[in-house]
Amino acid sequence: MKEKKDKQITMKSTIFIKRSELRQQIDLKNYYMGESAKRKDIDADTIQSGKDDEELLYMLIRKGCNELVSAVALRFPYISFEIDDENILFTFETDYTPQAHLLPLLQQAIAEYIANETGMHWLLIRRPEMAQTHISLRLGLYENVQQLFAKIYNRKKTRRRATDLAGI
Amino acid sequence: MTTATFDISRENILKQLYVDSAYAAQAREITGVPEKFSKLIMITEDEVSYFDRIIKLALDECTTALSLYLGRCSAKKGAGSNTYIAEIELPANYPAERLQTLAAIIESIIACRCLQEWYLTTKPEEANIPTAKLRQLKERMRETLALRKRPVKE
Repeated sequence: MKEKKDKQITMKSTIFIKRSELRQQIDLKNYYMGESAKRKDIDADTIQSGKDDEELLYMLIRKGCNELVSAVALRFPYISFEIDDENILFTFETDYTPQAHLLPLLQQAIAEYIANETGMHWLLIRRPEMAQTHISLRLGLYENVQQLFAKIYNRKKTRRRATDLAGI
Repeated sequence: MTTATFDISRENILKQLYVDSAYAAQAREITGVPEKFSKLIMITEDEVSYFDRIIKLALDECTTALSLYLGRCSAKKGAGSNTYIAEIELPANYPAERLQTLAAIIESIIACRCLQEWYLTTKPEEANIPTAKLRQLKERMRETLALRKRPVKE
Protein backbone atom coordinates (compact mmCIF):
# COMPACT_ATOMS: atom_id res chain seq x y z
CA MET A 1 0.00 0.00 0.00
CA LYS A 2 2.88 2.26 0.88
CA GLU A 3 4.56 1.43 -2.46
CA LYS A 4 1.37 2.32 -4.24
CA LYS A 5 1.30 5.62 -2.40
CA ASP A 6 4.90 6.34 -3.35
CA LYS A 7 4.06 5.80 -7.02
CA GLN A 8 1.10 8.18 -6.87
CA ILE A 9 1.39 10.73 -9.65
CA THR A 10 0.51 14.34 -8.95
CA MET A 11 -0.65 16.66 -11.73
CA LYS A 12 0.74 20.17 -11.80
CA SER A 13 -1.60 22.79 -13.20
CA THR A 14 -0.65 26.36 -13.89
CA ILE A 15 -2.90 29.37 -14.26
CA PHE A 16 -1.46 32.20 -16.36
CA ILE A 17 -2.61 35.75 -15.88
CA LYS A 18 -1.16 38.31 -18.26
CA ARG A 19 0.31 41.23 -16.35
CA SER A 20 -0.58 43.74 -19.05
CA GLU A 21 -4.24 42.66 -19.04
CA LEU A 22 -4.43 42.88 -15.27
CA ARG A 23 -2.85 46.35 -15.34
CA GLN A 24 -5.29 47.45 -18.02
CA GLN A 25 -8.22 46.23 -15.93
CA ILE A 26 -6.97 48.13 -12.87
CA ASP A 27 -6.18 51.32 -14.84
CA LEU A 28 -9.55 51.23 -16.61
CA LYS A 29 -11.48 50.87 -13.35
CA ASN A 30 -9.45 53.68 -11.75
CA TYR A 31 -10.00 55.86 -14.84
CA TYR A 32 -13.81 55.54 -14.71
CA MET A 33 -13.92 55.97 -10.93
CA GLY A 34 -11.79 59.10 -11.31
CA GLU A 35 -13.91 60.54 -14.14
CA SER A 36 -17.04 60.05 -12.08
CA ALA A 37 -15.55 61.52 -8.88
CA LYS A 38 -14.09 64.53 -10.76
CA ARG A 39 -17.64 65.85 -11.35
CA LYS A 40 -17.76 66.72 -7.65
CA ASP A 41 -14.11 67.11 -6.74
CA ILE A 42 -11.51 67.95 -9.36
CA ASP A 43 -8.70 66.55 -7.19
CA ALA A 44 -10.01 63.01 -7.81
CA ASP A 45 -7.64 62.81 -10.78
CA THR A 46 -5.05 61.51 -8.28
CA ILE A 47 -6.72 58.09 -8.30
CA GLN A 48 -6.34 57.65 -12.07
CA SER A 49 -3.37 55.37 -12.49
CA GLY A 50 -1.09 55.09 -15.51
CA LYS A 51 2.35 54.04 -16.67
CA ASP A 52 4.03 56.25 -14.05
CA ASP A 53 2.50 54.17 -11.25
CA GLU A 54 3.79 50.84 -12.55
CA GLU A 55 6.30 50.35 -9.74
CA LEU A 56 3.80 50.88 -6.93
CA LEU A 57 1.06 48.85 -8.65
CA TYR A 58 3.49 45.98 -9.22
CA MET A 59 4.26 45.96 -5.48
CA LEU A 60 0.54 45.94 -4.67
CA ILE A 61 -0.15 43.14 -7.20
CA ARG A 62 2.61 41.09 -5.61
CA LYS A 63 1.14 41.75 -2.18
CA GLY A 64 -2.33 40.67 -3.39
CA CYS A 65 -0.96 37.44 -4.91
CA ASN A 66 0.91 36.63 -1.73
CA GLU A 67 -2.18 37.17 0.44
CA LEU A 68 -4.33 34.98 -1.82
CA VAL A 69 -1.85 32.13 -2.02
CA SER A 70 -1.19 32.26 1.75
CA ALA A 71 -4.91 32.04 2.50
CA VAL A 72 -5.58 29.25 -0.03
CA ALA A 73 -2.50 27.27 1.05
CA LEU A 74 -3.92 26.97 4.58
CA ARG A 75 -6.79 24.85 3.27
CA PHE A 76 -5.48 23.13 0.17
CA PRO A 77 -2.33 21.29 -0.84
CA TYR A 78 0.60 22.73 -2.70
CA ILE A 79 0.02 26.13 -4.35
CA SER A 80 2.53 28.76 -5.30
CA PHE A 81 2.83 31.85 -7.44
CA GLU A 82 5.53 33.41 -9.53
CA ILE A 83 5.71 36.71 -11.42
CA ASP A 84 7.81 37.02 -14.55
CA ASP A 85 8.05 39.80 -17.13
CA GLU A 86 4.77 38.99 -18.84
CA ASN A 87 2.69 36.74 -16.63
CA ILE A 88 1.64 35.89 -13.13
CA LEU A 89 1.72 32.12 -12.71
CA PHE A 90 -0.25 30.23 -10.09
CA THR A 91 0.82 26.61 -9.84
CA PHE A 92 -1.01 23.95 -7.86
CA GLU A 93 -0.87 20.17 -7.62
CA THR A 94 -3.73 17.69 -7.74
CA ASP A 95 -3.89 13.89 -7.77
CA TYR A 96 -5.74 13.93 -11.06
CA THR A 97 -6.34 16.26 -13.98
CA PRO A 98 -8.71 19.02 -12.94
CA GLN A 99 -11.92 19.31 -14.92
CA ALA A 100 -11.14 21.42 -17.98
CA HIS A 101 -14.09 23.78 -17.60
CA LEU A 102 -12.96 24.86 -14.11
CA LEU A 103 -9.55 26.26 -15.00
CA PRO A 104 -10.76 29.31 -17.01
CA LEU A 105 -13.25 30.06 -14.22
CA LEU A 106 -10.46 29.86 -11.65
CA GLN A 107 -8.25 32.08 -13.82
CA GLN A 108 -10.97 34.72 -14.03
CA ALA A 109 -11.75 34.51 -10.30
CA ILE A 110 -8.09 34.93 -9.33
CA ALA A 111 -7.65 37.85 -11.76
CA GLU A 112 -10.70 39.61 -10.33
CA TYR A 113 -9.52 39.09 -6.77
CA ILE A 114 -6.03 40.43 -7.51
CA ALA A 115 -7.43 43.41 -9.45
CA ASN A 116 -9.81 44.28 -6.60
CA GLU A 117 -7.12 43.85 -3.96
CA THR A 118 -4.65 46.03 -5.88
CA GLY A 119 -7.30 48.67 -6.51
CA MET A 120 -8.22 48.68 -2.83
CA HIS A 121 -4.64 49.22 -1.65
CA TRP A 122 -4.12 51.88 -4.34
CA LEU A 123 -7.18 53.82 -3.17
CA LEU A 124 -6.21 53.43 0.48
CA ILE A 125 -3.01 55.27 -0.41
CA ARG A 126 -4.56 57.90 -2.72
CA ARG A 127 -8.09 58.49 -1.39
CA PRO A 128 -9.05 56.15 1.45
CA GLU A 129 -12.69 57.31 1.49
CA MET A 130 -13.18 55.83 -1.99
CA ALA A 131 -11.97 52.33 -1.09
CA GLN A 132 -15.24 51.18 0.54
CA THR A 133 -16.59 49.38 -2.54
CA HIS A 134 -13.39 47.40 -2.96
CA ILE A 135 -13.33 46.46 0.72
CA SER A 136 -16.92 45.22 0.60
CA LEU A 137 -16.24 43.08 -2.52
CA ARG A 138 -13.12 41.51 -1.06
CA LEU A 139 -14.67 38.67 0.87
CA GLY A 140 -17.02 37.62 -1.93
CA LEU A 141 -14.22 37.47 -4.49
CA TYR A 142 -12.01 35.47 -2.14
CA GLU A 143 -14.83 32.99 -1.54
CA ASN A 144 -15.22 32.53 -5.31
CA VAL A 145 -11.58 31.50 -5.54
CA GLN A 146 -11.85 29.26 -2.52
CA GLN A 147 -14.99 27.50 -3.76
CA LEU A 148 -13.43 26.82 -7.14
CA PHE A 149 -10.36 25.35 -5.47
CA ALA A 150 -12.67 23.25 -3.31
CA LYS A 151 -14.42 21.98 -6.45
CA ILE A 152 -11.10 21.20 -8.14
CA TYR A 153 -9.87 19.27 -5.10
CA ASN A 154 -13.29 17.67 -4.85
CA ARG A 155 -13.83 18.81 -1.29
CA LYS A 156 -17.07 19.90 0.21
CA LYS A 157 -17.21 23.26 1.90
CA THR A 158 -17.46 22.77 5.64
CA ARG A 159 -20.71 24.19 6.92
CA ARG A 160 -21.12 24.69 10.60
CA ARG A 161 -24.43 23.81 12.08
CA ALA A 162 -26.39 26.62 13.67
CA THR A 163 -26.07 24.94 17.08
CA ASP A 164 -22.28 25.01 16.81
CA LEU A 165 -22.31 28.70 16.08
CA ALA A 166 -24.62 29.42 18.99
CA GLY A 167 -22.33 27.47 21.29
CA ILE A 168 -25.13 25.18 22.46
CA MET B 1 6.20 61.16 -16.79
CA THR B 2 6.59 63.12 -20.02
CA THR B 3 8.21 66.55 -20.17
CA ALA B 4 6.31 69.15 -22.16
CA THR B 5 8.11 72.30 -23.27
CA PHE B 6 6.11 75.45 -23.94
CA ASP B 7 7.27 78.62 -25.59
CA ILE B 8 5.63 81.52 -23.79
CA SER B 9 5.57 84.46 -26.16
CA ARG B 10 6.33 87.79 -24.51
CA GLU B 11 4.85 89.47 -27.60
CA ASN B 12 1.47 87.73 -27.13
CA ILE B 13 1.35 88.67 -23.47
CA LEU B 14 2.13 92.34 -24.16
CA LYS B 15 -0.49 92.43 -26.95
CA GLN B 16 -3.09 91.09 -24.51
CA LEU B 17 -2.10 93.79 -22.02
CA TYR B 18 -2.32 96.61 -24.61
CA VAL B 19 -5.73 95.44 -25.81
CA ASP B 20 -7.27 94.77 -22.37
CA SER B 21 -6.06 98.05 -20.88
CA ALA B 22 -7.09 100.07 -23.98
CA TYR B 23 -10.66 98.72 -23.86
CA ALA B 24 -10.82 99.29 -20.09
CA ALA B 25 -9.66 102.93 -20.51
CA GLN B 26 -12.16 103.50 -23.34
CA ALA B 27 -15.01 102.05 -21.26
CA ARG B 28 -14.22 104.41 -18.38
CA GLU B 29 -14.08 107.44 -20.72
CA ILE B 30 -17.55 106.55 -22.05
CA THR B 31 -18.93 106.33 -18.51
CA GLY B 32 -17.65 109.85 -17.81
CA VAL B 33 -14.35 109.28 -16.04
CA PRO B 34 -12.08 112.21 -17.01
CA GLU B 35 -9.45 111.32 -19.60
CA LYS B 36 -6.53 112.11 -17.29
CA PHE B 37 -7.75 109.37 -14.92
CA SER B 38 -8.90 106.80 -17.48
CA LYS B 39 -5.57 107.05 -19.34
CA LEU B 40 -3.74 105.96 -16.16
CA ILE B 41 -4.72 102.36 -16.70
CA MET B 42 -3.76 102.29 -20.36
CA ILE B 43 -0.59 100.34 -21.07
CA THR B 44 1.65 101.59 -23.86
CA GLU B 45 5.03 100.61 -25.23
CA ASP B 46 6.70 102.98 -22.77
CA GLU B 47 5.78 100.60 -19.93
CA VAL B 48 7.25 97.49 -21.55
CA SER B 49 10.43 97.46 -19.43
CA TYR B 50 8.24 97.55 -16.25
CA PHE B 51 6.42 94.46 -17.42
CA ASP B 52 9.54 92.38 -18.08
CA ARG B 53 10.01 91.96 -14.33
CA ILE B 54 6.30 91.28 -13.75
CA ILE B 55 6.12 88.70 -16.54
CA LYS B 56 9.04 86.76 -15.02
CA LEU B 57 7.41 86.98 -11.57
CA ALA B 58 4.07 85.79 -12.96
CA LEU B 59 5.75 82.92 -14.80
CA ASP B 60 7.51 81.80 -11.61
CA GLU B 61 4.22 81.96 -9.69
CA CYS B 62 2.52 79.95 -12.42
CA THR B 63 5.14 77.19 -12.42
CA THR B 64 4.99 77.05 -8.62
CA ALA B 65 1.21 76.62 -8.81
CA LEU B 66 1.64 73.90 -11.46
CA SER B 67 4.20 72.03 -9.38
CA LEU B 68 1.56 71.56 -6.63
CA TYR B 69 -0.24 69.16 -8.97
CA LEU B 70 2.53 67.91 -11.24
CA GLY B 71 6.17 66.89 -11.12
CA ARG B 72 9.07 69.15 -11.91
CA CYS B 73 8.18 72.54 -13.44
CA SER B 74 10.59 75.29 -14.40
CA ALA B 75 10.76 78.38 -16.58
CA LYS B 76 13.64 80.29 -18.10
CA LYS B 77 14.27 82.93 -20.71
CA GLY B 78 14.51 81.54 -24.23
CA ALA B 79 17.00 82.42 -26.93
CA GLY B 80 16.36 86.01 -27.97
CA SER B 81 14.34 88.47 -25.93
CA ASN B 82 10.84 87.50 -27.00
CA THR B 83 10.21 84.07 -25.50
CA TYR B 84 10.27 82.27 -22.21
CA ILE B 85 10.54 78.51 -22.05
CA ALA B 86 8.49 76.56 -19.54
CA GLU B 87 9.26 72.88 -18.92
CA ILE B 88 6.50 70.93 -17.25
CA GLU B 89 6.51 67.26 -16.25
CA LEU B 90 3.12 65.83 -17.05
CA PRO B 91 1.74 62.36 -16.24
CA ALA B 92 2.19 59.77 -19.00
CA ASN B 93 -1.61 59.47 -19.36
CA TYR B 94 -2.14 63.22 -19.96
CA PRO B 95 -3.85 63.78 -23.33
CA ALA B 96 -1.37 65.33 -25.78
CA GLU B 97 -4.13 67.21 -27.64
CA ARG B 98 -4.68 69.38 -24.52
CA LEU B 99 -1.14 70.77 -24.41
CA GLN B 100 -2.01 73.75 -26.64
CA THR B 101 -4.96 74.60 -24.38
CA LEU B 102 -2.68 74.43 -21.34
CA ALA B 103 -0.12 76.72 -23.03
CA ALA B 104 -2.83 79.26 -23.88
CA ILE B 105 -4.17 79.23 -20.30
CA ILE B 106 -0.65 79.76 -18.91
CA GLU B 107 -0.20 82.79 -21.20
CA SER B 108 -3.58 84.19 -20.11
CA ILE B 109 -2.69 83.71 -16.44
CA ILE B 110 0.57 85.59 -16.90
CA ALA B 111 -1.16 88.44 -18.76
CA CYS B 112 -3.88 88.63 -16.11
CA ARG B 113 -1.34 88.64 -13.31
CA CYS B 114 0.55 91.50 -15.03
CA LEU B 115 -2.71 93.42 -15.39
CA GLN B 116 -3.49 92.85 -11.71
CA GLU B 117 -0.09 94.21 -10.74
CA TRP B 118 -0.61 97.20 -13.04
CA TYR B 119 -4.02 97.99 -11.56
CA LEU B 120 -2.61 97.68 -8.02
CA THR B 121 -0.07 100.36 -9.00
CA THR B 122 -2.28 102.75 -11.03
CA LYS B 123 -5.86 102.16 -9.82
CA PRO B 124 -5.89 99.97 -6.69
CA GLU B 125 -9.68 100.33 -6.18
CA GLU B 126 -10.27 98.39 -9.41
CA ALA B 127 -7.66 95.65 -8.87
CA ASN B 128 -10.39 93.21 -7.73
CA ILE B 129 -11.49 92.79 -11.37
CA PRO B 130 -8.30 91.15 -12.69
CA THR B 131 -8.00 89.32 -9.35
CA ALA B 132 -11.38 87.66 -9.90
CA LYS B 133 -10.44 86.82 -13.49
CA LEU B 134 -7.13 85.34 -12.30
CA ARG B 135 -8.95 83.07 -9.87
CA GLN B 136 -11.19 81.82 -12.69
CA LEU B 137 -8.20 81.19 -14.95
CA LYS B 138 -6.44 79.20 -12.22
CA GLU B 139 -9.55 77.05 -11.79
CA ARG B 140 -9.61 76.47 -15.55
CA MET B 141 -5.95 75.50 -15.42
CA ARG B 142 -6.68 73.04 -12.61
CA GLU B 143 -9.53 71.50 -14.63
CA THR B 144 -7.27 71.17 -17.68
CA LEU B 145 -4.54 69.52 -15.59
CA ALA B 146 -7.03 66.98 -14.22
CA LEU B 147 -7.71 65.50 -17.70
CA ARG B 148 -6.50 61.97 -18.36
CA LYS B 149 -6.50 59.64 -21.36
CA ARG B 150 -8.62 56.53 -21.24
CA PRO B 151 -6.22 53.54 -20.85
CA VAL B 152 -5.79 51.57 -24.06
CA LYS B 153 -4.91 47.92 -24.49
CA GLU B 154 -1.15 47.52 -24.97
